[in-house]
Amino acid sequence: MNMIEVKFKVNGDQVRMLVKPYETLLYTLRERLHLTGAKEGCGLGACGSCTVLINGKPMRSCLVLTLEVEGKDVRTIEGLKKNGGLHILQRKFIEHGAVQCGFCTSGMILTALYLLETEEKIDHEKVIRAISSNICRCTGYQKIINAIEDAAKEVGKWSY
Amino acid sequence: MLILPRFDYVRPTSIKEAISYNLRSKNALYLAGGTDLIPRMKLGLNKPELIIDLKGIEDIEGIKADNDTISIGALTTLWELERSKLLQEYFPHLVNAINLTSCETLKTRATIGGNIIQELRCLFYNQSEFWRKAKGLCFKTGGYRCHITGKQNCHANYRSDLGPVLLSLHAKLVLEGPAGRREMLITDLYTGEAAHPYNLFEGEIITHIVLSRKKTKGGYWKLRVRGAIDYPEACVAISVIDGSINIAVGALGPSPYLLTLSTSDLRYLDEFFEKIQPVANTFLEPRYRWEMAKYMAKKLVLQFSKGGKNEHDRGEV
Repeated sequence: MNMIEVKFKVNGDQVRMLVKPYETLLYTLRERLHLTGAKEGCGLGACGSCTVLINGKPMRSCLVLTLEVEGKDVRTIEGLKKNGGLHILQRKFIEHGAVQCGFCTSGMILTALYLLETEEKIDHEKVIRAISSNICRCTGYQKIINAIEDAAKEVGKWSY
Repeated sequence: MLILPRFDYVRPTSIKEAISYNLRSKNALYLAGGTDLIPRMKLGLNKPELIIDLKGIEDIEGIKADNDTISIGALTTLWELERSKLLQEYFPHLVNAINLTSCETLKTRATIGGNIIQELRCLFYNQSEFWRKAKGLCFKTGGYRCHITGKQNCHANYRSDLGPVLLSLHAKLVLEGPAGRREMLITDLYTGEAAHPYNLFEGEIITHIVLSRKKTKGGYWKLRVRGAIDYPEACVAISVIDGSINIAVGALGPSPYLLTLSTSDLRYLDEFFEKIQPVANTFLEPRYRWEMAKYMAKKLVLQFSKGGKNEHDRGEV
């Protein structure tokens, strides 16, 4: 199989590389770009641990071929840090102890990030609905929910 | 790690180009959202030599409306449809069904066209190659007999959420293929045969789903095991069109079943359900799924035969 050239943005940086046509975005991110934040859980789109933002929307990178993101803007958990400081969601996850084994964490944070960036007002229902896309096999959902709600409160989007 | 089979990839910019790629290749598959196809390829159920990505084609995406019709491009994502003010106004039960489909981060990719003609599912089919070979191949994957019934035919299950709703709405499909463009009612799409579930020609693409622009009352109920990311174990969609009630029952056979009631005489409903005979191809017992579908259908018919308020609970059982 011929390698095909693909150009896209990862966390703001332009990337230009040759990839195999049957390569998933998750593989490219982890094995070629060494961005190992996105994890392969099930590989079948059921668990959400490979979630990344493509053109601002959360998607499962294990179900996306790298060639499909030609010209698009990909954001991973590695791109959340700003000026050396952690993102508010990352801080809140640490404060609330919302990380157990850590395998679902980057997917959870990116799903929550989308919620935090797009919704005007956030309530408990919306948080539950957003992270229903992701599975935490340690079943530590309560602390994850607390962390996201706390982050929403801090950015002033919580609907009291 | 699950690895995809080796294939080539092309991204045509027009439907004609896509069809010509399909004609040139012996074993090509169209890729839309990929939420159904990519897992199947990872499980070794499909091994194409060429993947034709339809997302480069612009005019089969988005919602367009004129005075009489609402036309949905087959490549429109469920995420976009769920947020459409127009659909919420005209077909609230369709939006409700989309709401109950899968989860947010899959809906950002899943398309309505792909949802309608998704591959049938079965406990013995949607498994890894290793699992299937250890068990012995089932009829659908090239084995001698079906593991559920022991007979020499397939009993896979049509588990789309949106198929039954569109069926109850009498949606029209616009198709384009090597022989040209044609239109068909969605009622003609389904064959009722699990081996060949859709009346589509080789290389044909659904380009648009057309609905008549009338505010339609209706409801959708779904029986499921998990609260998120789950296919229906049984589902019922109801649309009230010109005074008659269309009932579509899904996930109990290779095609959804449709009944049109002019009055809400529940005896017809009992007769209708006698024809539906689900088999043990999902997690829940077939008898239970059948009883629940009947219950959901009766509830919905009663609700909408009494004038039918268009209010929605979450529609989950």
